[in-house]
Amino acid sequence: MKDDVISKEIINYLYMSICKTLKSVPFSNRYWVEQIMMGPARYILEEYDDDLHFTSKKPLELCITFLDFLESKGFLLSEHYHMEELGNDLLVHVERDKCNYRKYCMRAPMEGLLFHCARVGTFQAVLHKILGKNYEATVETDQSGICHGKLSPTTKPKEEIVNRDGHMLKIAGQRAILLSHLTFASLLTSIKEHAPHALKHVLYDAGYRAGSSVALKTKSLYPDPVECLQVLLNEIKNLGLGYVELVSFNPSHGRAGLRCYDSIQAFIAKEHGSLYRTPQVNCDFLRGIVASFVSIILDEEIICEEMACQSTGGDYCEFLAMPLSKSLLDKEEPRDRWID
Amino acid sequence: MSKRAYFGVEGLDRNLEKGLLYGSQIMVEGDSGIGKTVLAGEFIKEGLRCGDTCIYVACDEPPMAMREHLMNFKVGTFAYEETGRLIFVDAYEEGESLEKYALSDLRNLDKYFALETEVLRGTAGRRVRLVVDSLSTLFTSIDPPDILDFHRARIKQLRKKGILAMDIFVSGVLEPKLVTITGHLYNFMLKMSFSGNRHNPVRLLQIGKVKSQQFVSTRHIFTISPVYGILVPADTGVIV
Repeated sequence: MKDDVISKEIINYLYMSICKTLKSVPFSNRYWVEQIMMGPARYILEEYDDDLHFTSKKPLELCITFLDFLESKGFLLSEHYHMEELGNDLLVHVERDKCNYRKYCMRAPMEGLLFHCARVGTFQAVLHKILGKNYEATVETDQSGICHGKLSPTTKPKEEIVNRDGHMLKIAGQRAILLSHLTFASLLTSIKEHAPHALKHVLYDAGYRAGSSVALKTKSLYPDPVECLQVLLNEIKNLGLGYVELVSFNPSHGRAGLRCYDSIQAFIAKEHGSLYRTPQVNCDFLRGIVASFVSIILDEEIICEEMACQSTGGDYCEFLAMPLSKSLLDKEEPRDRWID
Repeated sequence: MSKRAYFGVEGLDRNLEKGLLYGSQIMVEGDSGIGKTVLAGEFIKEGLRCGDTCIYVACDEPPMAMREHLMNFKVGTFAYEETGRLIFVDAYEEGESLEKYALSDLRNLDKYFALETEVLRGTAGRRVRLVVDSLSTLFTSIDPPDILDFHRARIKQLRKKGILAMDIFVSGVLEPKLVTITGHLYNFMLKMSFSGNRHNPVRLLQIGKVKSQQFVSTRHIFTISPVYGILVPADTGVIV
C-alpha cells in the first residue's frame, strides 16, 4: 500500500529527527534514546490490551506473540524475524532490508546520531511490561545485511546521569545547578581575593569532591574501567567543562593521559584574565575531577597533573593521571587492557 | 614565554613587584628546621605549574624525601619525572644511590660542577629552575678560597644559561664572612630565622639584596601550613 510506505518512512524520519534534536541537547541522552524506542510498544501494550493475548511467561513466546499482533495489524510480517533462545538471552535475526526501521538504522550512524534499534526496543518494552525485568540490548549487522540482536536480562540500574526531577535538575541523583562562565569566574575571583594561597587547593579539592559522587554512581552502572571512564569524560562535556579526549589508559598501572579542548578554566583565563601572576596551567577544577574519576574507577589514590594548558597558548590542555604510590607504577602487567 | 618568575608563596610574591628574572640566583639562608626545604618545594611547585623544568639537588636527605614532601602537597612528581620536567640529583647517598644522576664524591666540587653541567646540558633550550638543598653541606670540608672559585665559575655558568637558581645554606655551617662574600654573588637573598622566645617561636623571613656588605631587606612573619605550605600573612607580615 502506497500510504503505508510513506507512513513507515515518516516513522523513520521521526526517529531521526528526535535523535538529531537530542544531539544538540546537553547531556548524554543514551538512556533517553532507549526509552524513546521503547515508548511506542508501551503505548500499544496499554491501548491494545484486549487484543494482546500473552499465554506464556516465556520471553521468546512473549516477543513472538507481540510480533504476531503487529502482523495482524499489517505493520510487518513476523516470518521475517527469526527468534531463538540462548541461555537467558534472546536472539533476534532479521534482514535489514525487510525491517521497517532500516532507514533510521542505516542513516543514524552515517549522520553521527544516537542510535538504539527500534525493534529490540519494542521487545525490551514487552519484556519489562509483562515480566517486570530489564533487558539490555545490542545489535550488530553482518556483511550480508542481516541484523543480529541480542537481549540479555540485566539488573544494572538504568538512568541518565543528568536528570530532571520536576522543576529540579539532578546530577547523579543530586540536586544540581547550571552556571554561566561569568558566575563561575566571579566565584574564582572571590576565592582569589579572600584566600589567594588556597585558590589552587580549593579548586582541585572541589573538583575531586564533585567528581567523586558522579564517578561512584557511574561505576555502579559501568563496571568496565575503560567504558566507565569514557562515560565520565563524556559527562565532563555534558557539564560544559570542556571536551576531554582519552589519549591513553592503563588501568593496571593506574595511569591515564587525557586532552581537554576548550576547558572552562582556560576559557575564563582568556576571557577574564589569568588568576595568577605568570602564565601557568589553570585547570585545577578539572584536574581534581579527573583525579577523582580515575581514583574511584581504579580504587587507588590517583593524582592528576596538568602538563600543559590551552590558556598558555597550546591547542588543548594536557593531563596526566598517575598513582601517588610508586608501587603501582612498577607493577608488571600485560598490556592487553591498555588504551595506548 | 614569561621571563618573570615567582616563588609560589603568595605573601612573598606580592612584594616582588617585578618578580625574579630567569638567569638570576637566590641565596636562601636559614636556621635548621625553619622551612627552607618547604620553601624549595613551593619554588619547584610554582616552576612545574609555569612549565619550567625543575632540578632538585638533594644534599641533606635522599631525593625521596623531597618526592614525599611534594606528594604530601599533592604534587604528582612521577608525572613530571616521566616527562623530564622534574629531575632529582642525589648528592647525599654517594655509591648507594639509585637515581639517574648521583654525585659519586661528596667532597669534590669539581665533580659536582661536572655533574650539574651535565644535567643542565640535558635541559638546553628549556626554562630551568635549579634548587640545591643545601649547598653549604657540599662546602663543609672545602677550603674557603676553593669555595669562592667554584662559586664564581658556577654562578657565571648559571647566568649565562639563564638558569633561575635557588641555593640553600644552613645557618652556622659556614664562616659568617664567607657567607657575606658569597651573598654578593646572588641577585636576591632570603634569610629565614626563628624569633620570639622558645615557648612561642616566631618564623621570620627577610628578602633583599646584599649591597656594600649590608643586607637591605624587608621582613615578614610566616607560618607553615601542612596543606598550603608557607603562608605569609597579608596584613601583618611586613616589618621594615
